[in-house]
Amino acid sequence: LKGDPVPPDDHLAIHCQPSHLIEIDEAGEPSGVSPDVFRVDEEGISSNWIEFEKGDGFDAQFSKACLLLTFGRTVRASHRMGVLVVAQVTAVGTAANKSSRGDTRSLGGTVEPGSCADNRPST
Amino acid sequence: VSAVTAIQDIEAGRSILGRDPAGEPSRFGRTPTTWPATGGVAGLLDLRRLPLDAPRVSQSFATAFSVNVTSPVGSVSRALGSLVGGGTAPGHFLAGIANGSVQTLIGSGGALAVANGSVLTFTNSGGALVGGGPALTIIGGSGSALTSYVGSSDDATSVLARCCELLQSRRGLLRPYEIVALERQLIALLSDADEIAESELTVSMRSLDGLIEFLAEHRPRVHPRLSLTRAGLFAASWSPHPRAKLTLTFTPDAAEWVGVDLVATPPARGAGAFVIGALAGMPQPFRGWIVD
Repeated sequence: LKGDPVPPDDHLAIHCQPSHLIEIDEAGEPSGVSPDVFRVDEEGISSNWIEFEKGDGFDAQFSKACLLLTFGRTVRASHRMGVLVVAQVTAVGTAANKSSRGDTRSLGGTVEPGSCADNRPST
Repeated sequence: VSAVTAIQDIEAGRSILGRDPAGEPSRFGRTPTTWPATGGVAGLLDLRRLPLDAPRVSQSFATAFSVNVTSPVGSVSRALGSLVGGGTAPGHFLAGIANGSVQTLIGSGGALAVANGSVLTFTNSGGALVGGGPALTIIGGSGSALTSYVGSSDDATSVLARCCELLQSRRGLLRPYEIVALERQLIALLSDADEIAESELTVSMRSLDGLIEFLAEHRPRVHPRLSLTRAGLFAASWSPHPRAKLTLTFTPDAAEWVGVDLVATPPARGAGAFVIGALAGMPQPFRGWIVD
Protein backbone atom coordinates (compact mmCIF):
# COMPACT_ATOMS: atom_id res chain seq x y z
CA LEU A 1 0.00 0.00 0.00
CA LYS A 2 2.87 2.37 0.69
CA GLY A 3 3.23 4.85 -2.14
CA ASP A 4 -0.15 4.02 -3.68
CA PRO A 5 -2.25 6.98 -4.75
CA VAL A 6 -5.20 8.00 -2.63
CA PRO A 7 -8.45 8.16 -4.65
CA PRO A 8 -9.21 11.80 -5.43
CA ASP A 9 -12.79 11.60 -4.18
CA ASP A 10 -11.76 10.20 -0.81
CA HIS A 11 -11.35 12.32 2.28
CA LEU A 12 -8.52 13.31 4.55
CA ALA A 13 -8.79 14.07 8.23
CA ILE A 14 -6.49 16.67 9.72
CA HIS A 15 -6.16 17.34 13.41
CA CYS A 16 -6.76 21.06 13.91
CA GLN A 17 -6.09 23.17 16.97
CA PRO A 18 -7.59 26.62 17.50
CA SER A 19 -4.17 28.17 17.80
CA HIS A 20 -3.43 27.06 14.30
CA LEU A 21 -5.18 25.28 11.46
CA ILE A 22 -8.68 26.32 12.49
CA GLU A 23 -10.31 29.26 10.79
CA ILE A 24 -12.81 31.31 12.79
CA ASP A 25 -15.71 33.24 11.33
CA GLU A 26 -17.08 36.52 12.60
CA ALA A 27 -19.43 34.74 14.97
CA GLY A 28 -16.45 33.15 16.67
CA GLU A 29 -17.23 29.71 15.33
CA PRO A 30 -14.87 27.35 13.50
CA SER A 31 -15.73 27.67 9.85
CA GLY A 32 -12.92 25.95 8.05
CA VAL A 33 -9.29 25.07 8.02
CA SER A 34 -6.49 27.54 7.98
CA PRO A 35 -4.58 27.98 4.74
CA ASP A 36 -1.61 26.60 6.66
CA VAL A 37 -3.17 23.18 6.14
CA PHE A 38 -2.17 23.46 2.51
CA ARG A 39 1.38 24.51 3.20
CA VAL A 40 3.46 21.72 1.76
CA ASP A 41 6.71 20.81 3.44
CA GLU A 42 9.22 18.12 2.66
CA GLU A 43 6.82 15.47 3.83
CA GLY A 44 3.83 16.84 2.00
CA ILE A 45 0.67 17.40 3.99
CA SER A 46 0.35 14.91 6.77
CA SER A 47 -3.18 13.68 7.36
CA ASN A 48 -5.29 10.59 7.85
CA TRP A 49 -7.14 8.82 5.05
CA ILE A 50 -10.66 8.35 6.31
CA GLU A 51 -11.91 5.79 3.79
CA PHE A 52 -8.99 3.56 4.65
CA GLU A 53 -10.60 2.82 7.98
CA LYS A 54 -12.76 -0.24 8.13
CA GLY A 55 -16.36 0.56 8.96
CA ASP A 56 -19.90 0.70 7.71
CA GLY A 57 -20.16 4.04 5.99
CA PHE A 58 -18.34 7.30 6.22
CA ASP A 59 -19.49 8.21 9.71
CA ALA A 60 -18.14 5.00 11.16
CA GLN A 61 -14.89 5.42 9.29
CA PHE A 62 -14.60 9.00 10.44
CA SER A 63 -15.20 7.97 14.04
CA LYS A 64 -12.39 5.48 13.79
CA ALA A 65 -10.10 8.09 12.34
CA CYS A 66 -10.89 10.36 15.27
CA LEU A 67 -10.33 7.56 17.75
CA LEU A 68 -7.04 6.76 16.12
CA LEU A 69 -5.94 10.30 16.64
CA THR A 70 -6.42 10.11 20.38
CA PHE A 71 -3.80 7.40 20.65
CA GLY A 72 -1.02 9.44 19.24
CA ARG A 73 -1.83 12.98 20.23
CA THR A 74 -3.21 15.17 22.94
CA VAL A 75 -6.74 16.04 21.96
CA ARG A 76 -8.63 18.82 23.69
CA ALA A 77 -12.28 19.76 23.60
CA SER A 78 -11.49 22.82 21.55
CA HIS A 79 -9.77 20.82 18.84
CA ARG A 80 -11.49 19.91 15.59
CA MET A 81 -10.99 17.49 12.77
CA GLY A 82 -10.76 19.06 9.36
CA VAL A 83 -12.24 16.90 6.60
CA LEU A 84 -10.92 17.60 3.15
CA VAL A 85 -11.43 16.07 -0.27
CA VAL A 86 -8.19 14.70 -1.68
CA ALA A 87 -8.65 16.27 -5.10
CA GLN A 88 -9.29 19.67 -3.62
CA VAL A 89 -6.24 19.48 -1.40
CA THR A 90 -4.01 18.59 -4.31
CA ALA A 91 -5.50 21.30 -6.50
CA VAL A 92 -5.11 24.00 -3.89
CA GLY A 93 -1.68 22.79 -2.84
CA THR A 94 -0.46 22.75 -6.42
CA ALA A 95 -1.84 26.20 -7.12
CA ALA A 96 -0.46 27.68 -3.93
CA ASN A 97 2.96 26.22 -4.50
CA LYS A 98 3.11 27.46 -8.04
CA SER A 99 2.22 30.89 -6.82
CA SER A 100 4.46 31.13 -3.82
CA ARG A 101 7.45 29.10 -4.84
CA GLY A 102 7.31 28.94 -8.58
CA ASP A 103 7.08 25.21 -8.15
CA THR A 104 5.46 23.73 -11.23
CA ARG A 105 5.09 20.19 -9.97
CA SER A 106 1.65 18.76 -9.61
CA LEU A 107 0.87 17.26 -6.25
CA GLY A 108 -0.77 13.97 -5.61
CA GLY A 109 -1.80 11.94 -2.62
CA THR A 110 0.07 8.77 -1.76
CA VAL A 111 -0.05 6.50 1.23
CA GLU A 112 2.85 6.78 3.64
CA PRO A 113 2.63 4.67 6.79
CA GLY A 114 2.83 6.84 9.87
CA SER A 115 3.20 6.40 13.58
CA CYS A 116 -0.48 6.20 14.41
CA ALA A 117 -1.53 3.70 11.80
CA ASP A 118 -0.82 2.74 8.25
CA ASN A 119 -3.25 5.16 6.77
CA ARG A 120 -1.41 8.43 6.61
CA PRO A 121 -1.33 9.81 3.12
CA SER A 122 1.28 12.32 2.18
CA THR A 123 -0.21 14.67 -0.33
CA VAL B 1 4.42 73.70 18.90
CA SER B 2 2.94 70.31 19.39
CA ALA B 3 0.66 71.45 22.18
CA VAL B 4 -0.78 74.36 20.26
CA THR B 5 -1.42 72.22 17.27
CA ALA B 6 -3.00 69.61 19.43
CA ILE B 7 -5.35 72.10 21.00
CA GLN B 8 -6.37 73.47 17.65
CA ASP B 9 -7.00 70.03 16.36
CA ILE B 10 -9.05 69.10 19.35
CA GLU B 11 -11.13 72.21 19.18
CA ALA B 12 -11.69 71.68 15.51
CA GLY B 13 -12.79 68.18 16.25
CA ARG B 14 -10.47 66.79 13.65
CA SER B 15 -7.13 65.21 14.31
CA ILE B 16 -6.56 63.87 17.75
CA LEU B 17 -2.84 63.64 17.39
CA GLY B 18 -0.31 66.19 18.43
CA ARG B 19 2.17 67.40 15.88
CA ASP B 20 5.88 67.16 16.20
CA PRO B 21 8.07 70.13 15.25
CA ALA B 22 8.17 68.90 11.66
CA GLY B 23 4.42 69.04 11.49
CA GLU B 24 3.97 65.30 11.33
CA PRO B 25 1.53 63.54 13.61
CA SER B 26 3.36 62.53 16.71
CA ARG B 27 3.30 58.88 17.44
CA PHE B 28 2.45 57.97 20.95
CA GLY B 29 5.60 56.76 22.61
CA ARG B 30 8.00 58.41 20.24
CA THR B 31 7.49 62.12 20.53
CA PRO B 32 7.19 64.08 23.76
CA THR B 33 3.92 65.90 24.03
CA THR B 34 3.97 69.26 25.79
CA TRP B 35 1.26 71.65 26.74
CA PRO B 36 1.06 75.17 28.20
CA ALA B 37 -0.27 76.19 31.58
CA THR B 38 -3.34 77.81 30.13
CA GLY B 39 -5.93 75.51 31.49
CA GLY B 40 -8.59 73.81 29.52
CA VAL B 41 -7.78 70.97 27.26
CA ALA B 42 -4.06 71.25 26.83
CA GLY B 43 -2.99 68.03 25.29
CA LEU B 44 -4.18 64.73 24.14
CA LEU B 45 -2.46 61.45 23.75
CA ASP B 46 -4.05 59.05 21.39
CA LEU B 47 -4.18 55.54 22.70
CA ARG B 48 -5.14 54.37 19.27
CA ARG B 49 -1.46 54.67 18.48
CA LEU B 50 -0.04 52.78 21.35
CA PRO B 51 3.41 51.44 20.62
CA LEU B 52 3.30 48.01 19.15
CA ASP B 53 3.99 45.05 21.34
CA ALA B 54 3.59 47.21 24.40
CA PRO B 55 0.31 46.52 26.06
CA ARG B 56 1.45 48.63 28.94
CA VAL B 57 2.51 52.19 28.55
CA SER B 58 4.22 54.39 31.07
CA GLN B 59 3.48 58.07 31.25
CA SER B 60 5.74 60.55 32.96
CA PHE B 61 4.22 63.90 33.76
CA ALA B 62 5.89 66.99 35.11
CA THR B 63 3.14 68.73 36.99
CA ALA B 64 -0.30 68.38 38.33
CA PHE B 65 -2.99 67.59 35.85
CA SER B 66 -6.21 65.80 35.37
CA VAL B 67 -6.65 62.76 33.24
CA ASN B 68 -9.61 61.57 31.33
CA VAL B 69 -9.65 58.18 29.75
CA THR B 70 -12.48 58.24 27.32
CA SER B 71 -14.09 55.55 25.32
CA PRO B 72 -17.20 56.54 23.44
CA VAL B 73 -17.71 53.09 22.03
CA GLY B 74 -17.55 50.97 25.11
CA SER B 75 -14.66 50.34 27.37
CA VAL B 76 -10.99 50.86 27.90
CA SER B 77 -9.41 47.81 29.37
CA ARG B 78 -6.58 49.32 31.32
CA ALA B 79 -4.44 52.37 31.72
CA LEU B 80 -1.09 52.28 33.40
CA GLY B 81 1.04 55.27 34.18
CA SER B 82 3.50 56.87 36.51
CA LEU B 83 3.88 60.39 37.86
CA VAL B 84 7.07 62.25 38.61
CA GLY B 85 8.16 65.76 39.61
CA GLY B 86 6.44 69.09 39.34
CA GLY B 87 5.44 69.26 42.95
CA THR B 88 3.86 65.89 42.91
CA ALA B 89 5.26 62.86 44.52
CA PRO B 90 6.15 59.99 42.24
CA GLY B 91 3.29 57.65 41.92
CA HIS B 92 1.74 55.04 39.79
CA PHE B 93 -1.73 54.27 38.79
CA LEU B 94 -3.24 51.26 37.25
CA ALA B 95 -6.86 51.50 36.43
CA GLY B 96 -9.15 49.00 34.86
CA ILE B 97 -12.23 50.39 33.26
CA ALA B 98 -15.30 48.78 31.88
CA ASN B 99 -18.26 50.58 30.40
CA GLY B 100 -17.08 53.85 31.71
CA SER B 101 -16.73 52.92 35.35
CA VAL B 102 -13.50 52.34 37.21
CA GLN B 103 -13.19 48.74 38.24
CA THR B 104 -9.84 48.86 39.94
CA LEU B 105 -7.39 51.52 40.91
CA ILE B 106 -4.09 50.40 42.28
CA GLY B 107 -1.10 52.20 43.70
CA SER B 108 -2.11 55.80 43.24
CA GLY B 109 0.21 58.53 44.33
CA GLY B 110 1.09 62.18 44.01
CA ALA B 111 -1.32 64.36 42.19
CA LEU B 112 -2.92 61.37 40.73
CA ALA B 113 -4.16 60.25 44.07
CA VAL B 114 -7.85 59.85 43.68
CA ALA B 115 -8.71 60.52 47.28
CA ASN B 116 -10.82 63.44 46.25
CA GLY B 117 -12.10 61.63 43.23
CA SER B 118 -11.58 64.62 41.02
CA VAL B 119 -8.06 64.38 39.76
CA LEU B 120 -8.42 61.18 37.89
CA THR B 121 -11.62 61.13 35.96
CA PHE B 122 -12.94 58.44 33.75
CA THR B 123 -15.68 59.13 31.36
CA ASN B 124 -17.38 57.40 28.54
CA SER B 125 -18.43 60.35 26.49
CA GLY B 126 -15.45 61.58 24.57
CA GLY B 127 -16.82 60.92 21.13
CA ALA B 128 -16.58 64.40 19.77
CA LEU B 129 -13.17 64.85 21.24
CA VAL B 130 -11.43 61.82 19.93
CA GLY B 131 -13.62 60.86 17.05
CA GLY B 132 -14.07 57.42 18.45
CA GLY B 133 -11.78 55.15 20.33
CA PRO B 134 -10.10 55.42 23.65
CA ALA B 135 -7.81 58.29 24.39
CA LEU B 136 -5.85 59.55 27.31
CA THR B 137 -6.63 63.22 27.67
CA ILE B 138 -4.59 65.62 29.73
CA ILE B 139 -6.61 68.56 30.95
CA GLY B 140 -5.09 71.65 32.44
CA GLY B 141 -1.79 72.19 34.15
CA SER B 142 1.48 72.40 32.35
CA GLY B 143 4.36 70.13 31.69
CA SER B 144 5.30 67.44 29.28
CA ALA B 145 4.68 63.81 28.78
CA LEU B 146 6.75 61.19 27.16
CA THR B 147 5.57 57.67 26.77
CA SER B 148 7.94 54.80 27.08
CA TYR B 149 7.77 51.08 27.18
CA VAL B 150 7.41 49.39 30.48
CA GLY B 151 7.87 46.05 28.85
CA SER B 152 6.80 44.23 25.78
CA SER B 153 5.37 41.29 27.58
CA ASP B 154 3.97 40.30 30.89
CA ASP B 155 4.03 36.71 31.99
CA ALA B 156 0.99 37.30 34.12
CA THR B 157 -0.94 38.57 31.14
CA SER B 158 -2.26 35.95 28.79
CA VAL B 159 -1.84 36.16 25.07
CA LEU B 160 -5.57 36.58 24.73
CA ALA B 161 -5.57 39.45 27.21
CA ARG B 162 -2.77 41.18 25.39
CA CYS B 163 -4.50 40.80 22.07
CA CYS B 164 -7.77 42.08 23.46
CA GLU B 165 -5.92 44.95 25.04
CA LEU B 166 -4.40 45.87 21.72
CA LEU B 167 -7.79 45.61 20.08
CA GLN B 168 -9.28 47.88 22.71
CA SER B 169 -6.58 50.42 22.17
CA ARG B 170 -7.33 50.45 18.45
CA ARG B 171 -11.09 50.25 18.60
CA GLY B 172 -11.48 53.80 17.43
CA LEU B 173 -10.15 52.71 14.06
CA LEU B 174 -12.72 49.99 13.55
CA ARG B 175 -16.41 49.74 12.95
CA PRO B 176 -18.42 48.39 15.89
CA TYR B 177 -19.24 45.08 14.25
CA GLU B 178 -15.58 44.58 13.41
CA ILE B 179 -14.62 45.02 17.04
CA VAL B 180 -17.20 42.48 18.14
CA ALA B 181 -16.17 40.03 15.45
CA LEU B 182 -12.48 40.35 16.23
CA GLU B 183 -13.13 39.86 19.93
CA ARG B 184 -15.05 36.69 19.22
CA GLN B 185 -12.37 35.43 16.88
CA LEU B 186 -9.55 36.15 19.30
CA ILE B 187 -11.38 34.35 22.08
CA ALA B 188 -11.97 31.34 19.86
CA LEU B 189 -8.35 31.22 18.75
CA LEU B 190 -6.56 32.03 21.98
CA SER B 191 -8.72 31.20 24.97
CA ASP B 192 -7.00 27.89 25.65
CA ALA B 193 -3.89 29.14 27.41
CA ASP B 194 -2.61 25.64 28.10
CA GLU B 195 -2.70 24.79 24.44
CA ILE B 196 -0.90 27.96 23.54
CA ALA B 197 1.79 27.12 26.06
CA GLU B 198 2.12 23.54 24.88
CA SER B 199 2.40 24.53 21.26
CA GLU B 200 4.99 27.18 22.15
CA LEU B 201 3.18 29.48 19.80
CA THR B 202 4.42 33.04 19.85
CA VAL B 203 1.56 35.24 18.76
CA SER B 204 2.67 38.41 17.04
CA MET B 205 1.11 41.61 18.32
CA ARG B 206 2.51 43.42 15.32
CA SER B 207 0.68 41.03 13.05
CA LEU B 208 -2.59 41.70 14.84
CA ASP B 209 -1.97 45.39 14.60
CA GLY B 210 -1.34 45.01 10.88
CA LEU B 211 -4.67 43.26 10.51
CA ILE B 212 -6.45 46.02 12.40
CA GLU B 213 -4.71 48.66 10.32
CA PHE B 214 -5.74 46.85 7.16
CA LEU B 215 -9.38 46.67 8.21
CA ALA B 216 -9.34 50.34 9.14
CA GLU B 217 -7.68 51.36 5.92
CA HIS B 218 -9.72 49.37 3.43
CA ARG B 219 -13.07 48.77 5.10
CA PRO B 220 -13.70 45.32 3.58
CA ARG B 221 -17.25 44.61 2.49
CA VAL B 222 -17.26 41.37 4.45
CA HIS B 223 -15.45 40.70 7.68
CA PRO B 224 -12.82 38.01 7.06
CA ARG B 225 -12.35 34.69 8.70
CA LEU B 226 -9.38 34.65 11.00
CA SER B 227 -6.69 32.08 11.69
CA LEU B 228 -3.19 31.86 13.02
CA THR B 229 -0.21 30.49 11.19
CA ARG B 230 2.30 28.20 12.79
CA ALA B 231 4.56 31.22 13.07
CA GLY B 232 1.99 33.04 15.19
CA LEU B 233 0.92 35.44 12.48
CA PHE B 234 -2.68 36.42 11.91
CA ALA B 235 -4.22 35.47 8.59
CA ALA B 236 -7.48 36.86 7.23
CA SER B 237 -9.41 34.99 4.54
CA TRP B 238 -12.22 35.76 2.17
CA SER B 239 -14.06 33.11 0.17
CA PRO B 240 -16.51 34.37 -2.46
CA HIS B 241 -17.48 30.76 -3.07
CA PRO B 242 -16.42 27.41 -1.63
CA ARG B 243 -13.68 26.76 -4.15
CA ALA B 244 -12.03 30.13 -3.98
CA LYS B 245 -10.08 31.76 -1.23
CA LEU B 246 -7.91 34.78 -0.70
CA THR B 247 -5.72 34.87 2.37
CA LEU B 248 -3.74 37.79 3.70
CA THR B 249 -1.05 37.04 6.24
CA PHE B 250 0.17 39.96 8.26
CA THR B 251 3.86 39.87 9.03
CA PRO B 252 5.52 42.26 11.47
CA ASP B 253 6.55 44.58 8.67
CA ALA B 254 4.12 44.11 5.81
CA ALA B 255 1.68 41.55 4.48
CA GLU B 256 1.51 38.72 2.01
CA TRP B 257 -1.39 37.47 -0.03
CA VAL B 258 -2.21 34.23 -1.75
CA GLY B 259 -5.34 33.62 -3.75
CA VAL B 260 -6.81 30.65 -5.53
CA ASP B 261 -9.98 30.29 -7.58
CA LEU B 262 -10.51 26.73 -8.71
CA VAL B 263 -13.77 27.51 -10.47
CA ALA B 264 -12.26 29.96 -12.92
CA THR B 265 -11.10 28.64 -16.29
CA PRO B 266 -8.22 28.25 -16.15
CA PRO B 267 -7.93 28.25 -12.38
CA ALA B 268 -6.79 31.62 -11.12
CA ARG B 269 -4.00 31.84 -8.64
CA GLY B 270 -1.60 34.42 -7.41
CA ALA B 271 0.57 35.43 -4.50
CA GLY B 272 2.79 38.25 -3.46
CA ALA B 273 3.57 40.89 -0.91
CA PHE B 274 1.75 44.15 -0.49
CA VAL B 275 1.82 47.26 1.60
CA ILE B 276 -1.04 47.39 4.07
CA GLY B 277 -2.03 50.85 2.99
CA ALA B 278 -2.44 49.95 -0.68
CA LEU B 279 -3.96 47.07 -2.59
CA ALA B 280 -2.70 48.21 -5.95
CA GLY B 281 -0.29 45.30 -6.24
CA MET B 282 -3.03 42.74 -5.84
CA PRO B 283 -4.66 41.82 -9.15
CA GLN B 284 -8.26 41.10 -9.89
CA PRO B 285 -10.28 39.11 -9.23
CA PHE B 286 -8.71 38.80 -5.80
CA ARG B 287 -8.78 42.48 -4.88
CA GLY B 288 -12.44 42.64 -5.74
CA TRP B 289 -13.22 39.99 -3.18
CA ILE B 290 -12.25 42.46 -0.45
CA VAL B 291 -13.27 45.88 -1.70
CA ASP B 292 -15.25 47.34 -4.56
